[in-house]
Amino acid sequence: MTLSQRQGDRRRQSDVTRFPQRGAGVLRELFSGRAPAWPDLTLAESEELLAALEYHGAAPLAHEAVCRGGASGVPPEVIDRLHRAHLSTAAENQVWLAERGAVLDALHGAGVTAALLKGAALMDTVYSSPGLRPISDIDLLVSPAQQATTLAALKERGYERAVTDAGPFEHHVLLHGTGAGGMPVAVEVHRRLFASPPYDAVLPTDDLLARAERGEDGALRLAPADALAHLAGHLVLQHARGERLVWVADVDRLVRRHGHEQDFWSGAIEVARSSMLLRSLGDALVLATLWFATPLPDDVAAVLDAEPPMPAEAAAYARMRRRAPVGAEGDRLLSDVQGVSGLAAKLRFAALHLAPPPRTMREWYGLDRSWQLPVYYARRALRGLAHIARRPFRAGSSGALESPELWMIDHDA
Amino acid sequence: MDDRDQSQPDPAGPLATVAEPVSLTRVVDETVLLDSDSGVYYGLNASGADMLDLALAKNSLTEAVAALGELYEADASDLRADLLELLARLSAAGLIDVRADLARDIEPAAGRQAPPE
Repeated sequence: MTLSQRQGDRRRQSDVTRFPQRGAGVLRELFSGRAPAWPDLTLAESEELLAALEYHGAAPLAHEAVCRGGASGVPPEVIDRLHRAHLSTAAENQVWLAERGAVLDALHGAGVTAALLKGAALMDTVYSSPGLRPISDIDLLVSPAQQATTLAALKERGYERAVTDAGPFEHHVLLHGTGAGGMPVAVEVHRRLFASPPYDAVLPTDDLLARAERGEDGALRLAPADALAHLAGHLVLQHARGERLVWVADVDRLVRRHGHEQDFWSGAIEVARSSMLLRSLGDALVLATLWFATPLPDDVAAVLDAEPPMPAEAAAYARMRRRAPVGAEGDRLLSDVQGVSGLAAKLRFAALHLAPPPRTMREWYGLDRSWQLPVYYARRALRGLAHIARRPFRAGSSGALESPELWMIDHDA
Repeated sequence: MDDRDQSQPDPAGPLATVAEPVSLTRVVDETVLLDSDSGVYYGLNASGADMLDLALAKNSLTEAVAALGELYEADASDLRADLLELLARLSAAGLIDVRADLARDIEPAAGRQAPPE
């Protein structure tokens, strides 16, 4: 098998985004260290479960758990599929690890301070093997003051921006490159942790970088308490109703790795409290205990249960959990505007998104004639308004908030 | 067949080394070898992974076979043949460099089978 064949397989993957209910039950037991009997699934049910595991980036974890004797009666074809996913992830991650080292070296040489985030930070620190944690890009947090230097250093290394001008409001810049063996690789350079207001203003990047810790490999990673708050916000808010099991696994592994350390929990709760992520932290830990039996100290659970979020956090949480999915940008903009404080700031924010600078518009829409610009501004505004008009009919846009754990499981299957 | 005393540690180093563009990683009890030039990767099952580990760690064939004998119940001659065959296949695929003095031992095995994949 080659890496490029594997990349092709990944692109062809089905869009099964939720776990069928019966399969989810056995996976929870499997990941929690119990030894369930594999359910008697039809071919279609089995395919759906495997496709969901692959979509959620959890096939290698399932394979490892099955190999450790975690389930009985698993059909050979299921083991074979999980096995292949695990092998290919392990092979790909060797490329990612080499590329990560090269990127960090290039940035270090350019005098840039960059901290690894998410999978790129966790794959070889909190997981027992890098092959257990698929990644699709190298996420880096870089001070806004060093963005230009970072992009220049990455360009020097052969990376190209997916979109040359990402607009003044983007919280990260995506760049594509080619890794060993011709494998496509990508780097996301984040200027802040979160995109949407009010979370775009919490956890200032320079503070996070000042607290970041250098590992044995010389790479900088967020302090564990900051990392947990980030993972929680990323899972519960940034990807609300699009949660993936691999992000829940990240929470579990981080807690297992650092949960015994002095000040980890008090630090995590303090960071979450000060950055309006207390409820998100609670949700993320509920998900982790549900799927992975993550050990949670009683006093931490008690604090998270007893302390209701402040009104501003509760409002932000509800707004983010009800935010439209990617694609309905007008609807998403409306949610984000509600998170901005002050009328003038709201108007500035809305105007910036509705009418990005001409250079950005030309890049995004591939415009090469001057008359196209006003047409596309009008088109953008009208499409946004259409998204907003459809909002009342969009599932999840109003009514009671569903718990994050409910969104990962197809209760009708 | 070379009748030197192969139980003596060889100062020349281990029986095999991983070829320059290749990296290894463990997957449960297996090993994945990635040729980063070509982007091709190979999986070795548990026994193959154990054999490769020993070939990369031991300086003599006799030592490696003795260590294999502690892991698997089989005749030393069979273990030796299996080990040489695996080294031949991995070498033919460009995944490892076999120590020069072993090259003659693995030549007969080299043409027998395609590399593992």
